[in-house]
Amino acid sequence: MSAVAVRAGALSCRAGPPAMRLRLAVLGLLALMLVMALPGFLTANHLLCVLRQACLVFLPAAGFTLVALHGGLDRSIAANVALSGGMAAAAFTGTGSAWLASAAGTACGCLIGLLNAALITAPRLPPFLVSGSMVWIGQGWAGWFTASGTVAGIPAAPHTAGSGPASAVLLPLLLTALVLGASALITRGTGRLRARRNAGRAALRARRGGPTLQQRRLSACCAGGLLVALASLASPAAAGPAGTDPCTELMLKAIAAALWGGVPLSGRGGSLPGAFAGALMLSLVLDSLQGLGIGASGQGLATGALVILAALSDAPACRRSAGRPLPHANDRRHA
Amino acid sequence: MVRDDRSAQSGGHTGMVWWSGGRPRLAGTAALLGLSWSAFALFTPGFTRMANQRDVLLHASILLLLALPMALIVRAGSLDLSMGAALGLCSVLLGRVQSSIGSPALAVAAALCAALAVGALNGTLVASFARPPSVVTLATMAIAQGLASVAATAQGTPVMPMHLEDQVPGLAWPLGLAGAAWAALHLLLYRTRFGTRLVVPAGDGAATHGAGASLRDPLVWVHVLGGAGVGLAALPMAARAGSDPMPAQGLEFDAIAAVAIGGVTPRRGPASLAATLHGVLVVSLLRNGLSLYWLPASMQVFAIGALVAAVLGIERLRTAA
Repeated sequence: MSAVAVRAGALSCRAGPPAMRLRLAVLGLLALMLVMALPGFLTANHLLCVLRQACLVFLPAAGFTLVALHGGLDRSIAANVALSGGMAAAAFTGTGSAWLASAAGTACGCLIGLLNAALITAPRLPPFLVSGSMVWIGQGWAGWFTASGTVAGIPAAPHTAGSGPASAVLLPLLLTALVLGASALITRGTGRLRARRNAGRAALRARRGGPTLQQRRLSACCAGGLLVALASLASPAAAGPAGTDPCTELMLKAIAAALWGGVPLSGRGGSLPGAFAGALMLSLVLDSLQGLGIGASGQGLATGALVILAALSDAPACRRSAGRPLPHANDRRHA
Repeated sequence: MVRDDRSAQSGGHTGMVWWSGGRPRLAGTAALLGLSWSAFALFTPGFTRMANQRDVLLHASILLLLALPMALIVRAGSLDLSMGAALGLCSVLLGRVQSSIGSPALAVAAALCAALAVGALNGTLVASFARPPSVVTLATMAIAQGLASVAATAQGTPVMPMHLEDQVPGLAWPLGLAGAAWAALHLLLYRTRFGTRLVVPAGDGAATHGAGASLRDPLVWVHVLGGAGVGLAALPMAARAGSDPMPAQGLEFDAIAAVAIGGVTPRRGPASLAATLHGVLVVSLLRNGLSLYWLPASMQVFAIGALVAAVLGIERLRTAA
């Protein structure tokens, strides 16, 4: 994670306070409209449900953001969710230990992220084929591993940890708070590092040797895989069945949240708090659609349209910044 | 297996523009195809039956209609993940229009228009707005899936009442359709300026000078071609599986796998339509042979992914050597 820590200094460099304020304003406006349109919106249970949905979308969106910061687009989120969730569920039924199950799931997620990055950077295979192969292998293996169904034998308490009305919110919310807190700490830490470097310690750091660009990418993909695996642990819908549909749907929501949270598709910025704001916005929109009686098909259609809208709105900014160097481009010795 | 004339004009880039050549790759994919067929013929009961071989060819003809434009799309540096969902949407539209209006011609026209619209949307977003194809086509996949689902469940899933396989005696018409698409694409690539711009990789100034334009315009049109392929593939798909969007889901992965096995890479290296055909046949054989062992779809996907990874690894070792 140290490499990510160094790189994470760029997490907030493009999504500054004005952009975040704009997102918060849109979020507030959306919430106000929903309060006026839907009578039961302000009830505690309903708000908790929206918050839980936002947290479940935020975790893979954060993983997507980390990988996007290094110029990559992770298409293997769905496979990662399916495989990590299946592994964790199987480990739990086999050992009865929630800790071992969590370790198995997160290790699986990290491994998938590492494999993705290693295959792209070392033998320089085409990224779309690497992530495509990972989708095939991951989902195929997950389908075989869980016999294309829900893993049976999981006791009620952990299985419902992510799904009940009130206590269920705890696990996704806790994980989200942990991730956001860690990202804030890392960003502050790297800010201090930069300040020290500016004060004249660059030579010392250069002698010690910093992480290379490839190491940073590996670390970012590993951390991204870990976050996606956390989403699979927190979401019973993803942890049980290994079907492609729920996982692909979660991946699309994660991409939509990351884009609406300010991750440019050029990979030149973005922030984890922004991704959380995007996840909250998406959850509110989908919740309002559900309130209007629009089913899963319509919600999927709306998510796709939101992704296209976000991608289009991002186009002018990407064109403007096309000439600018990437935040790490001046670090050529690492490349 | 004829070297394209334009490769000579490009001078010094012969390895890049052998669209109908690339002998080592072609020999490799042909060997893989022969090996796959022989292995299944030897060890899989019922594989060599005529009905089963016909089934393989029918599946291959549908896949070829998707893989041929996918090869062009990948060659142009793009990707299309929405083909399977668009194919499902077209299948539903075929059945819906056919059952409500009663006109097969109108049904086919509606399906083709829908497929072309999806392709044009993809091409515009990818080329004109320079958006990443994997994100854009994933979004259009969700939109097409949503539309297909809404259309299919509006009044129950309609079933395509046509059994078009028997319309042309002695010849399975999907094979004829795929063959015609192959011939048309071949002519387009080697006898038109559009083909020249697409075949010659980016950066080959001498060759693209004659064509007179960048690769941006072809990028839109290859996606439209992808839509046309989807619209054509919807006919045999609906005739084979009815107007159900589910069987078409995930076919884009098979098409990408066939293209990868055929050795098509974005904007560089040799690429061959014949090798893509071999890739299509290998994927179809694998699907069919593994389903004869009653292996679930997930394991078939795993096997295809593992095969693609192995082919890529071998190719990487070969080029490194």
